Amino acid sequence: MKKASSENIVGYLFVGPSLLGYLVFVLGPLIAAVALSFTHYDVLSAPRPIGLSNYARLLADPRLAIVYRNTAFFAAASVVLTVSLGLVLAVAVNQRLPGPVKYALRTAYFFPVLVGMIYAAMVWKFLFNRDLGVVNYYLNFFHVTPIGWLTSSNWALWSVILVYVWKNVGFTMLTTLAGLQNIPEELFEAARIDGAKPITAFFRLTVPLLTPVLLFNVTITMINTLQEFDSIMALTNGGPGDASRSVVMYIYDQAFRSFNLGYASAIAVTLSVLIGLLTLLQLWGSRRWVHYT
Amino acid sequence: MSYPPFPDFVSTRSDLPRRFPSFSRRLLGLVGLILLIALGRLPPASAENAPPANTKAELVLFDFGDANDKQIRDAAIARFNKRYPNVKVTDQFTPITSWPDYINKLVTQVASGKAPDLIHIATEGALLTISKKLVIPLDEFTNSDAGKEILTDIDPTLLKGFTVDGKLYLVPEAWNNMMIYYNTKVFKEAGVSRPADDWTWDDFLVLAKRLTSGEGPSKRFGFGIPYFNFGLTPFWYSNATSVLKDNLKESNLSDPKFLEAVKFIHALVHENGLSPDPANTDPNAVFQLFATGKIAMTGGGHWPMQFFKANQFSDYDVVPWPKKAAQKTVFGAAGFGISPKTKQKALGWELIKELASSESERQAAGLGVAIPARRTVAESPEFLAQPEHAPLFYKSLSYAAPVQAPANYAEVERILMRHLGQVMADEVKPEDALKAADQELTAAMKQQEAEAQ
Repeated sequence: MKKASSENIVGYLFVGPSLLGYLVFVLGPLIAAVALSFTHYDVLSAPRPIGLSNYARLLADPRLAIVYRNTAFFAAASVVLTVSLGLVLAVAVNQRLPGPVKYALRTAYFFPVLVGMIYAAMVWKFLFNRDLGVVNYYLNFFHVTPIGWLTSSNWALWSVILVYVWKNVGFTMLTTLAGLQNIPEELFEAARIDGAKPITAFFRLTVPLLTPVLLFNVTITMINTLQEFDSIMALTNGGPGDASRSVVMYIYDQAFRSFNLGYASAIAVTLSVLIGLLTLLQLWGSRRWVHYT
Repeated sequence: MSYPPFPDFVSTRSDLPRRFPSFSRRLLGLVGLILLIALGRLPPASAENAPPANTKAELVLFDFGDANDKQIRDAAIARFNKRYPNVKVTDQFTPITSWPDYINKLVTQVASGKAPDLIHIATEGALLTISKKLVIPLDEFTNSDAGKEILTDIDPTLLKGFTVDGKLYLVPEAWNNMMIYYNTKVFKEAGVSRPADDWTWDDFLVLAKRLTSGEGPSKRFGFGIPYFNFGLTPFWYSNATSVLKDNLKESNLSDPKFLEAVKFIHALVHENGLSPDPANTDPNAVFQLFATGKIAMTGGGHWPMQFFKANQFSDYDVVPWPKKAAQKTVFGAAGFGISPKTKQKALGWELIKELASSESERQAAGLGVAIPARRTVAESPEFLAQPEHAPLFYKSLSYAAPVQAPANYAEVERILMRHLGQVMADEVKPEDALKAADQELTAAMKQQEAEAQ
């Protein structure tokens, strides 16, 4: 009994710092955001209770629908591209290649993950410049009319997605590669003996055995993209108009530019609920397609 | 009030020889004071008015700028510390990105209960800081001789911008306006001469067309639009219009003159091809392109000169903004104020005297940071060294108007630039964008008015 009790104490001590961090930096602000969402708060004056007014305003705000639509599109496209391209790259760098080539390729694909988004965005902004950028410079050789990669509503969000995928695909590649290297070689040998072609082995063996890693990548990428801020802020500042503005950017605008912290909190609450629901839905749905060996 | 009504009396008595017994010293002080009052002259409020040199305290300055500004501030603080070696000054220096972001940082810091002792703020945030009582009136200090010495050297137009209900809240130390910069080498190559100081939008258009040449990647643009709120403002002002009405409480975006100005800027990019797409080009990148000759003219205040100096680029000069309906440009000043939360108001004032001193402004003038607030420094060789028409900077105060900066400046700027972005992307007609912007701005100003009451 005594031993069990002392083990419990040790356990609590181990999780204590993490739990404390969670309470202070996650749960505390979450509760504060919920409380503030029922107030009018301009940061400098004390919060004034206004009931459900902020939530009523959500329904009447036409910009909110636009930023939610942008965020959903950004998240869906980024998840699909980052996870699938990560899988393709992982399979590619897992092939039997000369050592230096293999490591050079892995490093090259992973390198953007290590670069700060703001630095990367500055370079991309230069590349994407409509009149003076490198991308349009080369397209000019093919007589392509200059494209406003970051300044046209048709292209701005796609350009941000491209930069996000470039920046983060190295991470999904790395986790997928780790998953690939955990698949026992004997299974592939057995499949070859049974006459399975490489493409069949990929879809019937590799992909199913990678599904736990793919679920992890999908969940992490989805949560990150639903909260995307820095790449959009640095590349397009949400423009033109609201064409590439995300929900988190809109929350920032409301909270720290318009000083409507109450309304910003109400939007943040809806986003938190949405992310929670989507994550639960994914975990529930994963029972149908994720295979744990 | 922590500031004693006669601080000089308090401070000087400790300097008296110790051989005087305490009572005698008090008596002597009292007699001295009576004599001075009798002579109709209170003691000069300068160094002897200041807190004693051995004062032990800490001061926090909320500050902005770039590496050059930091250098100037460090030197001012070092001079201050020579007088007050026991005062620790923490310069909370924020490399500036945009005024709204800087203001947000200040507001958030004050809200978190960590109000600084001194605040360095620009016109864009002045009304907000004053209306939210983040700074105190400085009359008790500026009425002193030292205060008068500073203020008499500053153009009244600059002081007016920081004065509310007859009370001065910030001591201006520097300011900026918008002028047209032109690349003298490009002008020479193109065989065009400097435009007249009273040139018009039409003259500007003719000149920009002559300076635009080439196609595709080798194209040289006649003009680079300074695409930020302050940079665009001279286009409004020179057409006798503005974003807000003069009372700073109502939108003015439905003014046909405003539409005309927006159409003019839009045409520079999309009809005449005289300017690169500005929404995609950082304001600082425009100056780089200007220095490399890819852009023949652009708009800017005095601040681009520090970049030009650093890159040994000297083939440039300035000319006033072209006029349409009015000869007018914009200006914005930066000044230092004292927080009501500080326990060291008198000491804070002493630090402000250093920060806004001639030495600081001369140093800034030499580095090309901004236009000095003090006229004597603006007339100094350091400031007038370059460009050829440098005197035009200070002279512009005679026809410049302050940037419109209501307490909700950040939101006004955000609304304008978001809708303007759609115009510059050539996706929404100027008429439609301004109509939508006007509606949004009207609602924002009404909300601001309601909250102020």
